Amino acid sequence: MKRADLLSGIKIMAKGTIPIVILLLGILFPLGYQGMAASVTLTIVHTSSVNGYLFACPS
Amino acid sequence: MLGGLARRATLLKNLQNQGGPCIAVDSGDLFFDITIDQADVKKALTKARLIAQAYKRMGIVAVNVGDRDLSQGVDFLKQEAAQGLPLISANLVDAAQRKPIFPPSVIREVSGVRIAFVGLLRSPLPPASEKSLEGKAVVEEPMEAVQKVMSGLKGKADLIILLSDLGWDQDIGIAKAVAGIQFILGGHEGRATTGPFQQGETFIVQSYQKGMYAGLLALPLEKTGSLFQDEGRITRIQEALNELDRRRRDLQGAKERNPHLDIRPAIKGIKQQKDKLQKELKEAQKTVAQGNRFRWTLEPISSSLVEDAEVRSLIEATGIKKD
Repeated sequence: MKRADLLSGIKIMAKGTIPIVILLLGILFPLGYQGMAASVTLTIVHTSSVNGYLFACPS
Repeated sequence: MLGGLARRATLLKNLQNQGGPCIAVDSGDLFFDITIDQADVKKALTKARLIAQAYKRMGIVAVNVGDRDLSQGVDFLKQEAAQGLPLISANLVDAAQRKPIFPPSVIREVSGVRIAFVGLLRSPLPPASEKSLEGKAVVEEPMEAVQKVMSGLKGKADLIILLSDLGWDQDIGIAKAVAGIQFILGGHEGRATTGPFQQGETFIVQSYQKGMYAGLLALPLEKTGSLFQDEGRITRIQEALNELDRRRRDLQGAKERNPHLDIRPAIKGIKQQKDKLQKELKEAQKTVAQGNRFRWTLEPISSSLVEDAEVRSLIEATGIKKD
């Protein structure tokens, strides 16, 4: 077998294998979902006892 | 000088523009000052209507009814609710039918998490607020009312936050007696709580008064089933330890200047406090690492916040120039 044929065969195998490896990694380690969930932080802005004040007061 | 409605609107817009989910709530005593002279009633009502209008534009999610909000009668609040202000109260009920005048709670879903805000006001009312109800409404006992609401929320909410105008001591009582409330965002006295007070599994805070500060509660939403832990607790204990070290150095300096000074009792007291805090620090480091960490901060409404133009023009249109 010629060297060029050998390299071509490896390339064809690699082309088929890489997507399968990516797919398996995606199934085994669903990082995207966990990463998204961990990043959601809700900010609640709270006021109390405003007492009708519209303007700034001396602190 | 701190506070101002137009600056508060800017703070909210800035937070909303940061991209994460952000909602606003108020725990009561929003509209009226503690005392209003008869001559100032018209001005007070104009200001109250303006605040309601601004809060609606800011997209407020829930406004709990406080006892001082009743000082100009329940009809004012009914009018504002009819115009879209999301007033809530679990224990303000119609005198004849004994049914809540406003919804007892409001549920808002954020990223798949259902958050219930429940409203409560204190009972008995101060005489002025009681008189202003003119027999049209009554305030039911808060503990019974909240228990009724809590049983109704079973299976409908993942997080329960009480917007309370009960005051600090009654908030602690509710936290002791009622399971399942994660946070009490309180008011009435208008305390400035830089660190949340923990009672069981409930954290209690207030956001000062006169709109000078806004409390910011940053809640992670990924593990709502697990207990919440206060991320700022470790920092506060560390600051308290640093303060004790500073006091010890001051005492030692005074002793060097005056060798006859007996600093031993004070040094002993500081050591005892430090030992206690160091135990707390170890425990906090362990629990905070395990839990669902939240962060509470009191944000000053300072002059660095540019006034929101829309709210500013609403204020100018009333002709009111000072409180």
